[in-house]
Amino acid sequence: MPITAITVQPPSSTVHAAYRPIIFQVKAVSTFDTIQPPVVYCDIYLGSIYYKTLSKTLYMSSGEWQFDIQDAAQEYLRKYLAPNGGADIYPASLGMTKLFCRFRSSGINTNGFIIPEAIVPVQGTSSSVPIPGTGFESNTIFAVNATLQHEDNQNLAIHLNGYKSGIWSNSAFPLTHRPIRYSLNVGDNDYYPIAYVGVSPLKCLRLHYRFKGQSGYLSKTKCVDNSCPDVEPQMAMSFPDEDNLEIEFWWNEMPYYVTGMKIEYRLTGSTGDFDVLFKGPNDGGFSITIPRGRYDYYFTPIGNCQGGPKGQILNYGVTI
Amino acid sequence: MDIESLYHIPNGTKNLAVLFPSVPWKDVEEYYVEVTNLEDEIQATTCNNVIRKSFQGTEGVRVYFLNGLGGIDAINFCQVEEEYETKSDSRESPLSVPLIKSQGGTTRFNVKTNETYRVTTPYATEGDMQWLKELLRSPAVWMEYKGTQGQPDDYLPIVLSDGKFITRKIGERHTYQFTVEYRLSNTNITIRT
Repeated sequence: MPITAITVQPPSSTVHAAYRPIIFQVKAVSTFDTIQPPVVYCDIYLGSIYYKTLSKTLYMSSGEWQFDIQDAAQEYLRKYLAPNGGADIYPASLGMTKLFCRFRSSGINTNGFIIPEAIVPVQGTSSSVPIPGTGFESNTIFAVNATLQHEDNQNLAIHLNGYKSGIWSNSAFPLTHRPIRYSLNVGDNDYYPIAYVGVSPLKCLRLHYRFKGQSGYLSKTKCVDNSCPDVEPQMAMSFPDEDNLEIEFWWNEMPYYVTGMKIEYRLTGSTGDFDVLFKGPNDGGFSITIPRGRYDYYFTPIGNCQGGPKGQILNYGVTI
Repeated sequence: MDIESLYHIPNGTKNLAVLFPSVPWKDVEEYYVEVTNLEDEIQATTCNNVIRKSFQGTEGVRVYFLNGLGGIDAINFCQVEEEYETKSDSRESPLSVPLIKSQGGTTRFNVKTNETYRVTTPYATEGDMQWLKELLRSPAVWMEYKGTQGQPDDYLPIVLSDGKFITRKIGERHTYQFTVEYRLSNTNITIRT
């Protein structure tokens, strides 16, 4: 492997300010021999989608190749203004992103051309989706659209921990420096911004309130719907005989709170009942044999989440 | 969408009144909100929200700003002074023959107008002043828009004026009068002729 090691990288699942250095260092050798390569590439994936590549032709005195990906994170991340008077837990997916890098080496071939190692990723355009590449993958971390001042602890999590009041898990951080006693008026619109890196969806709000002149708190709880995850189904068909189709299904990995998958299908254009299959949440890779024709397929996750079908493939099969 | 994300937790009484309609908010003095996950484990707790008597009944304005951590913060200002500023160019048209009294002479064109607001909160503490530095250096600021003519409440973008601000006094450090000046990001649309 021409990338021999990632020598410096943030620990897995840690949060980082996009306006401070996010450093990765790798050791690499040329694809065609054992000397330093002419170029080392750092492919940046934001939200598991290829975003852009940084390339370097100069290595450090230690022989390592260093990449600071803060510029890419700053380009990608955006502010989000929740609706005035809204009553939901609003995610701001562009305010924080999951991030990893894949590093690739290169070499100079016998014709003198620089040949990049591995599969080169392709950026998305308005008419084409990004295509991932391969490479030596780093830890996955989180970048937040945040700054840290010079006097702040440069570890964002430690800095934010200092602003927690009340009960917090290790998976959540306040994204505000507002005072612990925060003044507002009756009828004011306000949101409390947090960064959350847990795997369990946020579900309920528990309000604790105290009346004027009293010291005890009352509480009420309100839960919001936890929308089931999207299903990205894929299918393949084969022909076991002249009359039938064999359809193989698979889909993206479901989170832990999805306990099953309901698959409904019927002939395209039919208004009759669906045929229904129940499978485990990650039981992709099975096949069914059905009469030849074109069918509509709907995929509904089942479990501790709500919502109807979250994936579909329409008009799939052969015309008879 | 990934579960790991930045979230905005409803925290204002306007937001929470929708979720908890049975709470008599006018009698509430202090409250906070805990956020739990699917397993009912507390993940986050908001700050202690204090409903200030001094704010009630005042003709104030609520100013929202992008803080240094990527979230949105807000502060109430309760004294508002508004200035209406106009700028224009002029041209002189010749008189017509035969004379039409209503035409000709100097007319204005390229009229630009905008409101400038000077707002003050006399209730800021020294701790607030450290936080409010983020308002002063924020690139994105909005003021509350109270919906009229059937429109919902919203935010209007504003531009803070640059300046020097005292964020720590030598004496009487218990309260601070904090004043900022801003104008609307979008100027008024003026008719030509």
